[in-house]
Amino acid sequence: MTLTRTWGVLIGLSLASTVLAAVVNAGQAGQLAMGAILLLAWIKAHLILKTYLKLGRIPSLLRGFDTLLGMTMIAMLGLAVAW
Amino acid sequence: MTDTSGSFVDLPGDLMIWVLIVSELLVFGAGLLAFLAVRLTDPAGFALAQDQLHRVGAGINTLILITSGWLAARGSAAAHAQNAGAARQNLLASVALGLGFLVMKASEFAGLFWKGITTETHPFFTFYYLLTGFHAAHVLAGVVILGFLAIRPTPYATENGVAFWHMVDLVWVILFPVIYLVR
Repeated sequence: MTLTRTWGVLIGLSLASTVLAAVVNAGQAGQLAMGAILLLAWIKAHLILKTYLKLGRIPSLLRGFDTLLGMTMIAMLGLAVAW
Repeated sequence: MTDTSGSFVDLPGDLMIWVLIVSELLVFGAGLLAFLAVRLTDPAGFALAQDQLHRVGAGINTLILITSGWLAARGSAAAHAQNAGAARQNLLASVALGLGFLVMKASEFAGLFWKGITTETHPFFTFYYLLTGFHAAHVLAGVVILGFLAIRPTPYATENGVAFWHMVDLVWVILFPVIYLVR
């Protein structure tokens, strides 16, 4: 993915997560929205690592970062929906 | 002969910048997990405290930082292409947006202080000031680094400095939803 296309996708994902947080507030939908917002954050982090930080050229290391961040996001989601 | 393709030899920039990136991710990750764990003790209070924040302003700041990261990446690419003029332009534009981020952040802090909201007001704000303030300090450091790079954008130095800026960007895309959006 080119630098400019990555920028466009990051902008789109950031807008999507902000809109999602604004329209969905509580209840089960709120919990799903939290999951979606954290998933969008993980995708954004993946894109920054892959394209801007050029880890696309070292797939094994990119997978390592993706896994570490993914596990952190799952822990965050668990804490966010625990109450 | 050892095949080193796809190994640490291919790491963009210096190994130490990657040690820094991993360290910062661990520090901020631990901070955000602690924030969410403490939130379990008073979810209603955390939600009320979060309502004091300006989500739209933080959303705009996200767009500013992402755009700044894009310009920094273009600056690094231009430096590698030995196009010092384009590298300088992109790095300076990135610095300008970084300063814009800091102005917005300072305005957000000032607005909260004006309302009498400090680190002591509620645990939410203790974490909020600590995490976003620490991140803002990194933005300030990144602005200084990119500013120096713009003077003489050599490929190696630019790659390392811009990697630091992307780390700042990376931390924000995780910090922003957890602090401002997660309810």
